Amino acid sequence: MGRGELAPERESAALSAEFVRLIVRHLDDCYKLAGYLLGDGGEAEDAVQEALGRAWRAWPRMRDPGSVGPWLDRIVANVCKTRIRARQRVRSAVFDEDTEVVGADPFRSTLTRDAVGRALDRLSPEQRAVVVLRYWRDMPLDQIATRLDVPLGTVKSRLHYALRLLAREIDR
Amino acid sequence: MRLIGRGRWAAAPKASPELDSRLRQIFDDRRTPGAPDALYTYLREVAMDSTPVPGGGRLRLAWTGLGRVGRVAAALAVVVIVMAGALAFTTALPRGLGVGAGPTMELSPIPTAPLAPAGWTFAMSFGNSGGLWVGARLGSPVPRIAVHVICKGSETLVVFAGPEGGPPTLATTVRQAALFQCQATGQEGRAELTSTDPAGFQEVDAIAIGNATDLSETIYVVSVEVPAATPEPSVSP
Repeated sequence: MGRGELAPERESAALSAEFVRLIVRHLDDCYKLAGYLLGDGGEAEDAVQEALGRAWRAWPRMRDPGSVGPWLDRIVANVCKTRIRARQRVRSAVFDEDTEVVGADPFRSTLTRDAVGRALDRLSPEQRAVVVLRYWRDMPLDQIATRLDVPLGTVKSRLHYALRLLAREIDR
Repeated sequence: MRLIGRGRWAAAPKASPELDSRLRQIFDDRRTPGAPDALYTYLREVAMDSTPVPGGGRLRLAWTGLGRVGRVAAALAVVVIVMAGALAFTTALPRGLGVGAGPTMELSPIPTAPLAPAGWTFAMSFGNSGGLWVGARLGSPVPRIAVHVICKGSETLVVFAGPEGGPPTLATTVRQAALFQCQATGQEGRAELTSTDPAGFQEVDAIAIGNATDLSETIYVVSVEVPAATPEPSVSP
């Protein structure tokens, strides 16, 4: 039975179930992608929540269940890019004096352990996304281009300049 | 002679063996945890508690039937309407709130501007409900301000201050911002900002950003305070 033949309530329920079923298998990867891009587990959780909201709103337009992973990656990368840009201009002001004590963040501790990891902060969000997908997912450049919706040449260029910057950390 | 552009990146860029090895260690999948349970819960909630909006997530304008000139004219008309609305909102609202607010003013869901603490003077206020970008302009630039906020809702309120207004872009001048996490029960927060730009602060803008699936609107008022003028010491003859 096609979507159009269902009663509205059943159609909505079917849509929800399909969304959860297809997205849940990518949730770990989405979280890690956001964590590596943002360098903070808490912020990654917020970013993935935002990405899930966007994905759900756009879900009726999703036609190919096989491309859910790349599609979701693109949404997560875009959300993270916006957050990184905003972070460069925003500072926090707390409402009260209570200080929350939190444990070591797994992404922060992984990324800051090495000078190369710390240097990732100096990359642009776009360069960082290419490096993460290349070295974490071990993804071929053409797949990165598809995921980020940019030409292959752009991916190569971003990777080239990112690696050049990171290589300077080793030369120091 | 090598052509610039096409063909420049024929081969995939490669890292040195050492850089390659260190990057692979950094991004070792075993070092980081999977998604927390809260995200799995959220995934189910977002799909069960709301209906997706076909074509949602982005403002779409119908351009059908309009030529290039028509589209430009329509886009300009939209910009003018939005700017007129924002101007009316930011100039009318401060008169109804805080200092000078008259007893005959109509009740507004937007809270009253908070009182300035000792040593600071109220300069202006503005407010909003929802996610539109709003702001107001001080009569003259000042090097230091405090943004005093009362907000109610679940979104995060970002208040920007700088010599110019509008949404920040990389091309605009340096601006500073304070971030306030609003709560449903209502919260009051205050942050003092000191300009690093010789042009000082003149324009203060605010926008509520948050969870795309949360339909509740955040209401807020932003009061801008400036340091109180210190009286000149009198000189005895």
